This record gives sequence, structure tokens and C-alpha cells, in this order.
Amino acid sequence: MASGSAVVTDGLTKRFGSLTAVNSLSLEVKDGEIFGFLGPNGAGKTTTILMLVTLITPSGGMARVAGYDVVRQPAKVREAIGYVSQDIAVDEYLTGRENLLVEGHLHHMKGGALGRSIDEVLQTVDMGEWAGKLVANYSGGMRRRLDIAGGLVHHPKILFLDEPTLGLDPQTRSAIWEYIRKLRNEYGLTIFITTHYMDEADALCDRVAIIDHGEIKAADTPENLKKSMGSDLIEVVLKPAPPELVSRLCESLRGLPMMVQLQQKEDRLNLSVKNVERAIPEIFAQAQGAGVAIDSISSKHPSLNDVFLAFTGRGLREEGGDSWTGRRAQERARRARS
Amino acid sequence: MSALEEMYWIAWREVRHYFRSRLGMASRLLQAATWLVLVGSIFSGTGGLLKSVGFQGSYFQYITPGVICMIVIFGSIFGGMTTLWDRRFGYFQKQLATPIARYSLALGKVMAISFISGIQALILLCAALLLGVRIGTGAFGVVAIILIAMLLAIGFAGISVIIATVATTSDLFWSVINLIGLPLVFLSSALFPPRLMPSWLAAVTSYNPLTYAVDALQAMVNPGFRTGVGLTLPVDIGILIVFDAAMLLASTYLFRREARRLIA
Repeated sequence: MASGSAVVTDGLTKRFGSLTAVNSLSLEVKDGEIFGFLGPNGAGKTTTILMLVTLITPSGGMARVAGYDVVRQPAKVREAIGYVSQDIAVDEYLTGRENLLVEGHLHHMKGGALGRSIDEVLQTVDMGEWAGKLVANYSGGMRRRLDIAGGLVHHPKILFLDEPTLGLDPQTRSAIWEYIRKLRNEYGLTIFITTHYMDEADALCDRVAIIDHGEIKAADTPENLKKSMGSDLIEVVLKPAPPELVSRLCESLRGLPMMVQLQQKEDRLNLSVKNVERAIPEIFAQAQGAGVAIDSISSKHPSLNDVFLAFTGRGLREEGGDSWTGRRAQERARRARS
Repeated sequence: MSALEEMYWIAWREVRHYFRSRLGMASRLLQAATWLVLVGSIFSGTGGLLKSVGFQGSYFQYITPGVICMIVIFGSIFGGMTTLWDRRFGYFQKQLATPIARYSLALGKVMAISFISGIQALILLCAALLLGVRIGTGAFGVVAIILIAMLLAIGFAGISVIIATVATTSDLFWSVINLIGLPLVFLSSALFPPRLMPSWLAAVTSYNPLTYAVDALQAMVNPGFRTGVGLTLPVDIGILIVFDAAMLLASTYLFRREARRLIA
């Protein structure tokens, strides 16, 4: 693979009529990383993934996946990737093993090698026991696991997962995160994942790109993105003390170099600081110096939600509609297009 | 031959579905017997008319090729429905992201439908034998009947895939299928010899591929009896092959075009 980049895009654009779904997107995904594409429904995540897996043709720009151009070498790209779509696309009237058998053969695998690979991926997603049962009897989480196994059976270099935990319960979600981490750690797989869940991007991804209205607003590790917010939040509750002592404490705290903002409300102080780890000991020292006792102290790092808010001007959850209305909207859009 | 293997595995999945449901198997057996008994009994009073065009046997004996064709047509023309489901549930999209050829997807479906139609024809043939129908050409005839049924199914499976590809909703699919299904049966020699039809109707039947399949099957079940003027077995088979080829070309072309603009 060229220069250790699993996915490279430059100015990648997709227009549907007058609507620009993806606008001049440039990104790079390195080999062996879990790359998260974070954005609300309709931000252009799925459109981007569909271009990368060669299902739709870009209107402009270029994209290389596993070193191959998605427009000029689609067959090469398809051989190198696994694609797990947003719809859980498994065949209900086949058993789990039969599903994988068909998928393996469609990737030109055969015989003993395919059989061994099927056993291996079934084990990876803990579906061994259920492999002989009809998928119609599976729960949603099991279907998703089988679906992911199907994307792995031919040993792809890059796995594309479109909203892999949409509509699953919290337990199943964290189990699926475990499988995804395992794939990266044990097989060195590059994983490109789209999600509109903050916690998913935060817990799972090495790097995250925030996408909104078809454009990348920011891309970095979740840590750096949060750090770029500049400040952490601290709440201090004081034990009863004379007001003039509290005022003196506030004065001295305002003088601290890491202090961004301080609000006092009776015995409650809300601070916004640059470096929470160093600010807390300072707060204690200043309080002691001022003769005020601290009842409790708590701190909060900015979440990816705060980051998202800062970059897009709205929270992820505010877009309205549950995942079900989102699905219906997609369905409508799909029908309208065809 | 990786394209053949691709088609095989697309077909394998469909055939697996077919054999999976016991209730489905039972209902199909029953369906075959019902058609035969119903159609055979309703028209059983027409023996005299059939004699006038040179047919000596019972109406059951006459209708067996026609009912085989009906079973094949209905089975194959509905067969494209799975294409719609696959698209609805994202399975189609997933298949398109694999390295297989686009035409393998369409041809694999057609292969499966044709194979299943052969089985359906065999089931019906068994029911007919139980009702006392005699296959004039013997064991060779039985094999030939299955092959002719499969040949007929290829063309109609192609039509079904075309309709499923063009009609993007199941409502539209079903209304088109219902529009063409039964009329095709009536506008052929399946139920009645064209020589007994009004001349305009008889003329229409000669444009219906079904007419030639019925004639070929008659040649196997009731050798010596021809349903139409100037028909011979090679002509029947030749016309069916041309029909199949045309439908296969059209269906793979449309299917590939649809795959390209699938989501775009």
C-alpha cells in the first residue's frame, strides 16, 4: 500500500442534482488505524463511504482505497475491502454459516481456505454456537455481528463500517466495540467507521473527523480535539465562610495563570481552566491561604459533544427525530433517487 | 470460470430458500395438483371440440403441457421479487461491493429460477401421471419436458428480473406481473388449440413464446398432435432459445444500468 495510507481522498465531491452531499473532502486514513467519521444524519457520512466502496461515482475529486483509484480500479478496491452497510444486510432464510459461505464465494474464496476463514471469523464475533441456526432466529445484535463477520471473511485490508451500532442496546454496542478493537489489534486491520454517537467515536477511534454539511470541520485524535477546546470545567463547593474571605479567595484565584473564567454564586464557584490537573492543587493552596475550607470539588473534561458544538454550532442530538425517522427519511430519499 | 461460480453461488442462495420451507414445498405440490385437477375438470366437456382438431385423448391428456407452462410461468415471473427484497434490505448493495461481475447477479437469479421451474415441472408431471396421463415419448420425454420447462423459465425469469429492476416498488412490480401473467396464458395454446379460437386471437398467440413451449411439450406428451399449423419441434425450440437470449441480454443490460445508478 502506497505510503502507509489505507484511504486518501482529495477534493472528493458528490452532488445529487443541486444538493452537494459531500463537498471537496480531503482526508487521509493511515494503515492500521480506527478512523471515525462523526456527524449527524445527513452530514454526508454514508455518501462518502459509498464512494469509497465504489457503489457510487464521485462528481469530482479523487479517492484511493488500499492504493487503488475508486473510479478507475473499482474491482481492485472491492477485492481489498470489507463493507458493512448501515442496513443489517444478512439473509434471514440462511443459517449464519451459509451467509458467510455465500459472501466468501462472492469474494472468490473457496474450499478449505474458506471453511477455515469462516470458523475464524465466527469465533472472532463469538457466533460459533449459533452458526448452524437460521438467521431469522437471531437478535438484532447477533445479526450485526454476523454482518460484520461477513465483511471479514475474505481477509480485507480495510473494513468499512457504516453506523455499526445503530439501534443496538448499550451492552451489545460495547461488545461490538470490543470486536472492532480486536480486529485492529490482532489483525492490523484498518477500520473506517461512521457514527453519529459521540461516545462511540470517543471510545473507539484513534482519530476522528467531524463532518457536517458535507465538509470536514476538524480532524484529530479525540484527545486533541477535546484539548483544542482549551479549557476544563471545575466546580468548587465551599464550607460556610465569611463573604469577605470568599471574595478574597476569588480575587487570588482570578490571578492564577491557568484561569480562564470564574463565576461565584454564594458558596459555589464555577471555574473554567486551561489545565485541570495543575489547577486543582492551586485551588486548594489558595483556599488554605485565604482561610476558606473546601467542601467538595469536581471537574469535567469537555466531551466530543462540546467539540462538535464548537465546530458546527449545534449539538449532535439536536437535529431532531429518532433513528427511526432518520431511517424513513433515508428510505424516502432512496426511493426518490431511483 | 469464475463468472459461472459467481452465478452458481447467487443461484445456490435462491435454491436454498426454495427448499428451506417445508410448508412452501407442501403448498407447491398441492398447487400443481390443484391446477391440473381444476383446469382439467372445468374444460373436461370439450372433448368433442378437441376431437374435431384431431386430438383423441382426454382433456387431462391435452391440458398437461398447458398446466406445466402455467406453473413455470407463474413460478418464474414471480421469481424476480427477491431482487426487490434484496434491494430493500441492502443485500443487493452489499453484493455490489464484492468483486463479482454485475451480470453474474442477474444471470445467477435466472439460473436459480430456471432450476426451480424444472423441479416444479417434475412435480406437476408426477401429479399428471397419478391422474392417468400417459407421456407418449416415455422416459426420454420426461427428461425433455423438464428441459423445455427450464428453457421457457429462462425467458420469463428474464422478464421478471427486468420488471423488478425497472419497477422499484413491490406494488408496481405486482401490478405489472398481474397485468401480463394470466393474459399470457390465455393468449397461447396452453388451454385451447388456436385452431378453435377466433382468428384474431389465434394470430396473437403466434407472437407468444408460450405457444411454442406448449407445442414442444405436446410433442412430448402427445406425439403426433400439433397445436398449430407449421410448427415443428426444432422451430419451437429455436424460437424459445431466441426468446431466452433476448430476455437475458435485456435483463443483464438493465440490471447493470440499475447497479450503476443504484444509489447515485
